[in-house]
Amino acid sequence: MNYLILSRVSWEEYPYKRLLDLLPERADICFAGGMTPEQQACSGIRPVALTELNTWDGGSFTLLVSSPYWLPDVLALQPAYTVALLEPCPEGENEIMWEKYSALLAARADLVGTVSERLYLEQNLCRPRVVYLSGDYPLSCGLLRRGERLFFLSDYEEVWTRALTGLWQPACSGAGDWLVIQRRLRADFYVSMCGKMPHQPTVHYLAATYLYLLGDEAAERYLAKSFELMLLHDYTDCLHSHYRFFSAIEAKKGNLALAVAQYEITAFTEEERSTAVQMRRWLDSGDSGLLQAELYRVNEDVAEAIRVLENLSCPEAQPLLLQNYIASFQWEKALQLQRLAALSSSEAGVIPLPGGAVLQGGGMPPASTALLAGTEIPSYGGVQLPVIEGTMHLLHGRRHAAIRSFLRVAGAGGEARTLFAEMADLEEAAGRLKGGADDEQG
Amino acid sequence: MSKDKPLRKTSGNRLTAMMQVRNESGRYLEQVLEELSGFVDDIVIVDDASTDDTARLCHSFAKVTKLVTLEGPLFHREWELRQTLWELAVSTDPDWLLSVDADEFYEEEAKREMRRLIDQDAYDSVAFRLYDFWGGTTHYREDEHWNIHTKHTRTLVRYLPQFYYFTPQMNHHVPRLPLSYAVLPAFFAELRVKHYGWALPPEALRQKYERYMELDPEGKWGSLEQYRSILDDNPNLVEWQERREHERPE
Amino acid sequence: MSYESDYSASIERLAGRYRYLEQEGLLPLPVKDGVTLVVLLRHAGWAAECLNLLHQHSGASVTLIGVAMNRDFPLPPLAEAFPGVTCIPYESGNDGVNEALAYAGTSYVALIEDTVMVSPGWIGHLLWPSIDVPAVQVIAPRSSTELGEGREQLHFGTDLELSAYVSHSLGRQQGGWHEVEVLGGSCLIFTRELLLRVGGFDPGLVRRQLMVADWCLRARQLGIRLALSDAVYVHSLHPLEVDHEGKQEGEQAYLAKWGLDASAVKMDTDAGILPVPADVSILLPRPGIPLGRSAVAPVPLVTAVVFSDEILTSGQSLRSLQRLQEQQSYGNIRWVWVRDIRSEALPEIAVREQDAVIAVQGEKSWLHALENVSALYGSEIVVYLSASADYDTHYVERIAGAVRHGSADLVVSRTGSAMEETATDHGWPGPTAKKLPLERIAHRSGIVPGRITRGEPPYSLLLAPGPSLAIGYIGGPPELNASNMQAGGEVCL
Repeated sequence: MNYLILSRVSWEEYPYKRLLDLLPERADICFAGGMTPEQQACSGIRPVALTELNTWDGGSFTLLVSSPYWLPDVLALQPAYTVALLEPCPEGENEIMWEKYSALLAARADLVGTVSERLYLEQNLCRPRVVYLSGDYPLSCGLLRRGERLFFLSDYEEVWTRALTGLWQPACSGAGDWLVIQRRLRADFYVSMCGKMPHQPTVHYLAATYLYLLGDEAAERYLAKSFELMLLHDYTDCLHSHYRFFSAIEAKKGNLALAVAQYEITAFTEEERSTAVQMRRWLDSGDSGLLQAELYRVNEDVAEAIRVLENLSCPEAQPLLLQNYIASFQWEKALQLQRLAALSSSEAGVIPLPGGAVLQGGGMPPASTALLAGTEIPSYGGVQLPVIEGTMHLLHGRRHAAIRSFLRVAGAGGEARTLFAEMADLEEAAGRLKGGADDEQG
Repeated sequence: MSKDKPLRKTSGNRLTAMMQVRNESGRYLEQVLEELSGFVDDIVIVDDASTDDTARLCHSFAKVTKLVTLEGPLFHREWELRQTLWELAVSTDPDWLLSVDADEFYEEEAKREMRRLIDQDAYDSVAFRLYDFWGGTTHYREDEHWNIHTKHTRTLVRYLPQFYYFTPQMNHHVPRLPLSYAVLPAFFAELRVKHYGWALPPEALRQKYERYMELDPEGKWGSLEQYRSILDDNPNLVEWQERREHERPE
Repeated sequence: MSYESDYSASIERLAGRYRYLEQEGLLPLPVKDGVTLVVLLRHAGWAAECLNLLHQHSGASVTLIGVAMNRDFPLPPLAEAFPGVTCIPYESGNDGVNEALAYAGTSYVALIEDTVMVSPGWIGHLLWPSIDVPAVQVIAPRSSTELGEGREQLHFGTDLELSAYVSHSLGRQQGGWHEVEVLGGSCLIFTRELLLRVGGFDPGLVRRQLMVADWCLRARQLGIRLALSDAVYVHSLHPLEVDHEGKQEGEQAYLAKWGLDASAVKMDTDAGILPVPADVSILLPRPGIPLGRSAVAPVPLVTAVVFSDEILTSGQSLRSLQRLQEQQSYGNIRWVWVRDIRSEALPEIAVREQDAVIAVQGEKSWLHALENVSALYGSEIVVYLSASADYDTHYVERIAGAVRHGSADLVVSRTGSAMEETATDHGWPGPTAKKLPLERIAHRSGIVPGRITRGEPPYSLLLAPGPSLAIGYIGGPPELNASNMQAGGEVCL
């Protein structure tokens, strides 16, 4: 496999050099930016000029991307696979923009890796293929020979190599096991920390979170303990983070009635109350799939919600699926789903959708709409569809189409202005990124 | 539990008072039960193995719908006593619970507001201002060690059947209601509760002081300074002013 | 300069020269016929590298045997890549490790998991403790799989980092080692002499760590000392997939085998914590496990108590014993010969380590020894055999099976024919005590079978079984027919 590195920083500062040493089936590895001859000789990696990227055939490459502002290039290169190496917002960057485009990059990627445990957990709730590029396991778990050198792999390095191999060999045995293995390692670590720090609510909460992701029933016990410790410490702002989490655990166990009751207790806003009412309806009508998905969604476990919804064939699932795609920044999928639904609104029968789900003919009502010049603008989960369309146009380099979409955004013009400003910021950030790479090349 | 019962009712809520008692004969229990009978729907009581006629007194009130007399006292195992009372109270499938001590009196305004406080769905608990009356029933004490009325004390809660109820397991100073209510929305009412536990003559106050010092000589569970302040010759007392009906609480 | 300072200077100089030779790799192994390395092959991705490093860093005088530990292990490509390695394929029902150990012909043998990555100089340093102190015949390096203080949990990024650490460790702990109670790691070196005395590893303990620890404790029962090298560290890899199969079963078997109370001891094999008996020397010798091909699930040990009423010379004794041993098909017998030597000197009969000859003087002592011999040895079943009698090949197998699977305390074989059913008789009604031919009896452990007395031909010794014992017969209980009763209450079979 060939690899192309799209870095946020120069080769000298690139923080993932060790992971490059461990890339499986390493053939041609290229770094977009400048490298000295010594650096090339030492690393076995060759530099690629940014101008070359315009004509690059990415079809046989796996991209390793560590800045969200490479996203337009990722889309243009059409690589075989994309690996997003997510980082917390660096100093000096606009945090809102960084988080948004990182999420879009992660959604586009085939595999996400991060050294930040916070990002690791957030991404675990959005998608199934996330690697934590750090760990606390003190032993060696793998090995790799590269010429004269023998590398011993830590736990997460072994997971990293398996996750990459699993991309191009999804059918081989154990291809998906690495995700569970890593979650189990984290769970075991936090469970042991609970033993050492019995009065610390955060370690109990993290133990509960990983156990929940594993579907381990012990999650409830650790969450309960964390909740109690929060109360004893007088940290009372935990109704959603802690108590509502019980409803996700119960949903996973299949105790839907209890899960709904637990959610209801936490529902105070108009939106939450109407969600609770809808949940009750589904409970009474036996729509357990929709109910389960909604319980996951209100607990921010969008990945599980999508997994459930993609396996449902009822029409009610589609708008929920769309909403969850948007929430997890899978905006391409969301637009495809919406387009297919619109095309098939007069047809009968089922339409295959990305990810294996199917869409019943009949269109898809949005969660809400706003009115602009007499036209209804659909909105899903608070995000207007034209914003989504415009952003995707922009990322695909279709600037004029992006502007047209943004102009359709409802509101007093303030929202459109904000979007144009963001457009400029994005272009500027991408320019800064490439300018830095250009400087390295000299 | 009725499946159709909504989680938070905005009307028709039943108010159940819950109380633990022990040898209250000759004290304020009768008055408290009389007053409660005027504004609650039910009263549930745990009698901590009283040896006087406390149980008979409780039985004499029609609104006491549940009375459990323990065979042996749980006074020194306060958590267990609180749990027993809680479990008794929730077994009646209540809407709202009012935790009352055998020497606590709600001011008239609070009694009038009670229905409005519970017939809503915005918050799940109500805290009141508790006043420690001192030496009699006309004045309350206010000084460095006696100022509970400057804070709010949660005594009125909505019962939510599936909620996670947690009370820390201690032997003394156990909160009267599960700590879990702290995470739910609450209303802090400027309504007052009169506590007559210290409305005693000097000799009785001294006896109370001696009992505290016997139970907690090192001040593990409470402040030694506060215990000693029980014997103060000239505590700062403030005359209680009952609000007239048309006066709104600040 | 004084004599002492001259002497010290000489010693230092010699030590310096030795260090130089060692660092330059110029020192041969301190053993003439080399070392056999038995490598347990479980991890396809790691085995080749393990063998590669063993080849590179162990010197020329090692013999490698690879044992496939599961059916899925791809042995053929490995055998092709390493033509000098003897490969034993996986075979269900056969413990390949004990088979491989039987092939070991060198003075030292090592048992290594394929997760172990060795570094230069590893093996030489591990041989020296047994040369320093001959009683030390089992040595292990420090590693992340060792027990107790030998456990070192380390990760290295590359072989260079590992080598640097190992060199530093070797330099700092020059020749250092110390005695330990037990070893259980993934790398163990021992002498072949000891291997033949202790026997193989007990597959009944399921987990390799427990088998190694058990073997070490059995070695200690023979007075052998165990050493942990302070100087040598080997790097052990740990699969991400944790395998708990058989863990509980193995741990329980280990605790039961060594008489340890599970509720009173701390056991956490994942953390390297393994309880050991306080004093192994006072415990009964644990049964040996034969080397070579054998059943993975061993048949229970049977103690065959051999007696002879005749006065036999050493040669005759030996021949009788050999005949009996060769006759029997049962795979796990400890032979105990109880002899009344009368006025003779104790004859010399060569026996295996797990076998015994008990010589007493006088018939009374001899009969008493025969009655109580089962108390001396820990085995599930005791079978009495006469040196003068003939038994069919499956006799021990059949009667031991009847004891094991039946409810009787004591089983009598009426005849030598096979496939006879067992019935149970809880005591003979009537006042006459039963007497049974000792040479046709087997009983379960933990009981004294009864009183043994002289009999008449064809049975030299008879057993009057204890009154509370349940007696079973292969071939059914004797008929309740008075004509079969003889005076004295003896029962003819």
